Amino acid sequence: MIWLNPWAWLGLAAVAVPVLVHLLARRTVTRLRFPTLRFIAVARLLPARRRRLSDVPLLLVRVATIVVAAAALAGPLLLTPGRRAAAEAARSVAILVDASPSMTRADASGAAPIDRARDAAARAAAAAAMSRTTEVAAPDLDAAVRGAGAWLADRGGLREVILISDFQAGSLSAGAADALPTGIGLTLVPIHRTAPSTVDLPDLHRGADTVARHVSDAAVGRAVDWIVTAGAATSPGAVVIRAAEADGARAAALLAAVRAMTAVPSPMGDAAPSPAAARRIVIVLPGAPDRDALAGTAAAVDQPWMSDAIARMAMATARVAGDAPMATGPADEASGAMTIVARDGAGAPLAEAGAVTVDGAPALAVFTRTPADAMTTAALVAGAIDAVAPGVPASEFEPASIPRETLEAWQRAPRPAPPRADGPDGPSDARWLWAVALVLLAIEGWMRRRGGIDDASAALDVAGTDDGTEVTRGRVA
Amino acid sequence: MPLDPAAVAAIDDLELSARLVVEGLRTGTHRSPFHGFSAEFSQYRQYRPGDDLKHLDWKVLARTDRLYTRQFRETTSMGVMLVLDTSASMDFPAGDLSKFRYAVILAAALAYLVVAQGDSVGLMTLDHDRLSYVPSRGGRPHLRRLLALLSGLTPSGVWSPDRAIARGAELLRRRGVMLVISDFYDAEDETRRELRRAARRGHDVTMLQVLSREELAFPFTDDVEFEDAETGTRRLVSARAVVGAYREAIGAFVDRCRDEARRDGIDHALFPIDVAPDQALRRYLVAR
Repeated sequence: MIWLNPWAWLGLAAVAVPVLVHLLARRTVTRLRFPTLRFIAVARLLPARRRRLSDVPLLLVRVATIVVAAAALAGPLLLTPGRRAAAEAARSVAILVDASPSMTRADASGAAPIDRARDAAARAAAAAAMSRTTEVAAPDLDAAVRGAGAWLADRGGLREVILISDFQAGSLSAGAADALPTGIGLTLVPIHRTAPSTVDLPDLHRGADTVARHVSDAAVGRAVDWIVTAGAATSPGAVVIRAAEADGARAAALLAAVRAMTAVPSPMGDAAPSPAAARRIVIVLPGAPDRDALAGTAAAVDQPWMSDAIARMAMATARVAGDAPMATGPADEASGAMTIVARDGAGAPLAEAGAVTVDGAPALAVFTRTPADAMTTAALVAGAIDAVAPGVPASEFEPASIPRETLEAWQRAPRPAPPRADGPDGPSDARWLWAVALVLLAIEGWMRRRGGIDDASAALDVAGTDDGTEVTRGRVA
Repeated sequence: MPLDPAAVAAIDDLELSARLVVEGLRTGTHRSPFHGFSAEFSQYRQYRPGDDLKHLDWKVLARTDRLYTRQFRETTSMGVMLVLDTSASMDFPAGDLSKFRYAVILAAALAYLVVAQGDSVGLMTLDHDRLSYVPSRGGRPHLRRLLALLSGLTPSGVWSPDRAIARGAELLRRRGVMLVISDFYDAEDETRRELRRAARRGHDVTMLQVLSREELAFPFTDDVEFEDAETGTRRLVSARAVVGAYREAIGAFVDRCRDEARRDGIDHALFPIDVAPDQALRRYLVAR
């Protein structure tokens, strides 16, 4: 049983009317000239205003009439096996395949997730009587779902939108199903990326809170690891943030700031670095345990990608406003063995970079003098990310997917479209409820007319005939 | 098809109303329903005190040890006295068809019927505590006079049924038929006494009890202030609270009227006024 106009249930509020009438109705006294009072007993008057419901059977009939009428207005449709089979046979499906960068880049398995998504779309299309498959490149999946709903709106039978995606956090809102027309279902099919084998870093926690998160970018074959605490594992092509243990609490603010900054297009454009280059950038915050040791080994930048990275970080810090006044030095300006990446308003260096070797691999170390929650620090990290994976939107750095439980909650089962008025089934099954309502109205009218006469014939039991006349002979044997 | 009581009541010409009723009730009846005492044997009936012993069937008594009186079809004019209740209690319900109007139509129809079969009819009533009557006579002029008197009657005040019945019985010089049309609310004991006395005088007495459906069923649900039509006494009651007791009391009253009438050898007929008068009269006359 489904309801074609569920809003009509609001009509149930009308039940209050007869209840109030029966509760608050004040009786009026009528005066009547009567042949004799000898049979009318002296009786105490009932209270003028009743505190209890009066004439409960009549009230129940009236309430039932309203409930049945509201149900009829709500348009009940009984899903008989026949109706369900007919709707299933006429199933229309709009298939949306997420073609965003996170889906198109190959993962650790060597294949792009979109290939698996296309296979799933083909299977779904084969099972439907009518289907349309669309690949959505835009990160906003909500708009795509609405468009698919509009395409299905005028179709009959079962209608369903199937969205196949890796469902990165933020790519779909909770209200996506609500934006669909009534009756159109939404099925969410998650496609999981295979994580690179070289990266196996769990999220980092401090107590119960996640303070840093593993981010991977399989498109360039590297992982970008944000590590707030020092000494954790790293991997080639990573951005590693090394900070003091005490700065862990500031990780969330730092990451949020970085995400905001990476959403801005890179001033360096989308020119991708050479895939062969193994880029690793280590952001060393003040107080990091190995800061001095690492600085002691820093050498002058000697690789082109390092210069490119320094330029990107310098441009990123130049965009920062609201932090300390800062002047950015040229990428090739050196302070000893290191290159100054950013300066404050007085010209003092805020960050310097140098070539180091970490775990036997070359890396670019950036020694900041700004704390973890400073905007300059966030700008440096954003620039570093841009250097490792340029042109990738910020959301693509957030591999956390919408949990499966959430996706299941956002799904909506399809319901058959309302049958056409000229169809064999009629508009709905409301006519039966209307018939019941009419019967109830008739009963209500009968009860109202009946009033206090429970059974007039009972008072006429003296009558010897149907109409009450009676003749009794006095001369009986 | 029975006449609509309201339609009959709406006819101003009482003679026409009476004729309509009588024409209606004649359907299916071929003999006079009123039996007098004459030389032409009519039927047996159980003996009751006051019957002339010369009409006692001694042979039946000898054979069955039961007392039966032989009835004879009246060969001479039979006297019928109509006693009509004109008290204010008869002026109910309000509107065209009150108990009184219904009773007047019944009386007119009976008078018409009696005169039409060659018998004599009279009318006894109380007009403002003053006995008003038409002696029992026959003929069309007399009928018109009686109907004119009936038309001029209006229900008001209280009446003394014992006086009217006693006087009516006296005015029937020979044994005749006395038809008392009333609701019998007033002076129950005195009325019963006089009815019994009239029966013992040899009259064929019938109580025609006219009641409205409202009195029988008490179809009221709200608070009602009832005003006694005769005394003006008012009583405010919740009708719903008293309806049960009322129906019980009115039922007992009607039962009592019927049972005591039967015990006294008096006919009793109940006429709810929503029943077509011709239909009600036919039932009554056929039962006779």
